[in-house]
Amino acid sequence: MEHWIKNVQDRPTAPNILNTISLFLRDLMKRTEGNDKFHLRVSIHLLNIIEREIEISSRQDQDEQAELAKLLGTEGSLKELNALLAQKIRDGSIDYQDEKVFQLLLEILEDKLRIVNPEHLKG
Amino acid sequence: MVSSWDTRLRKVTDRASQLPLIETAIKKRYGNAAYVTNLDLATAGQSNRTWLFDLVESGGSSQRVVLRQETYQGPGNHFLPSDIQYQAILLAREIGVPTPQPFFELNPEDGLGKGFAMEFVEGETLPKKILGDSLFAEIRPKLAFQCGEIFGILHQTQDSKLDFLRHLPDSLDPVEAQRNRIDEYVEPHPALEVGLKWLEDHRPENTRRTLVHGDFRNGNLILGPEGIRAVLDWECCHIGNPLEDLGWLCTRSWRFGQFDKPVGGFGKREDLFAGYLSKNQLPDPDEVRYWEIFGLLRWASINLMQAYGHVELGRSSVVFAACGRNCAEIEYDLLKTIDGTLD
Repeated sequence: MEHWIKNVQDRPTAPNILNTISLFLRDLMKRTEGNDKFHLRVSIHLLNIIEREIEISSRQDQDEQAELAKLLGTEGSLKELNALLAQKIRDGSIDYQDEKVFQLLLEILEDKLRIVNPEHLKG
Repeated sequence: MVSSWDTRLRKVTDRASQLPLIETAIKKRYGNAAYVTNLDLATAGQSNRTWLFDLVESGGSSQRVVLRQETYQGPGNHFLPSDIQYQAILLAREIGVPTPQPFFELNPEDGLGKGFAMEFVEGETLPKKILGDSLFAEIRPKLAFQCGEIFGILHQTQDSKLDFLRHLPDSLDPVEAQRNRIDEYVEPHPALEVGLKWLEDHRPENTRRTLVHGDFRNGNLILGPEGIRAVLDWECCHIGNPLEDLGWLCTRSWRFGQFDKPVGGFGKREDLFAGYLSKNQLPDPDEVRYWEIFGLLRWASINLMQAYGHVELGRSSVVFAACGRNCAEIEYDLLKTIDGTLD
């Protein structure tokens, strides 16, 4: 994702291209119905997710990785750390009721929601 | 990893290739003069592909038919094989639950995969319409009670008729069944582990076991202005705690934004319970809440399955791709419901 941020490509930027496609699909949606219309709506939703992801995810991933590493007292990739935490919750070596764990999981989910569905955080 | 059945499945979305096969299947059962017209693919369901067509018989009489084909066939499948679904629908009709009339099951010679044909019931299934359209304004406040009545009837099914469901993972242990499925999708989700632990620690004392529909929710009901005409989608039925059904209907993901109306976004829990009591016994609200939390975990697991199918099994679709990204929302609701912030 770094290369989008560093601007190694000519204009337009990736977010701009995604936005342009989603505007086109939005227009197309008005002229379709049924299954196609539904799939267009979902496609636009996914493009919007990617737009936000390009904007904020690399910073979030670093935060999540650092927080998980601190909690678990070990280094690793984001996936490895999540797998370790999942396993420790399952085998009981980390208490699922521990306020600190619960709060960290909620914060990570809130970060994900800022990308996949910011509206949901308002509800 | 694309296995041969995936390639097959992708091909069968082709309408032109399906029409002659469907027509042959119809002629075999309804005579040579019968034919198929107005074939449409319904908005893709989560687990079954659904074709709609008019079956015209020799006398000229015509009826709309629904043909459901199995699709997801990978690991951690949440959905029942179509022959079990078919049997469940027959049983449900027998005990007085409104369902479409089943017509026939596909067999291998049909070349259409596994599936079955049933009556098309006219009406509305779209949750947004059911919650917003003025056509349903009068019935909307009565729907929760009606759902309760239908559950009350469904959950009286004689245990001796349920042998065909006894071997299912969800019949044996619903929490274990989810845990095993989540493992199949090989993506760590710590929040779901929290959910599984909580569910283990709070298992209900009630050990009643009955026929459970398993996917009774806003979206799987066909409505007319007078109320519920049919209950669809029996692909998750099993033997279980009857309140699992009530909890699923109230699960936050099925309220479609109407969070103050926990029953499907249209009603109050008290009305659901009153309807249930009119045909069965009074449900324990705490136990229903347990099954709402179970419902969130299970819904997350179903979304993981669809994402897994999209990424790993070549079952590519924008809808299934979106399912994967929908998980965070469900997990968030799961934790917030467990800690009591959300109702």
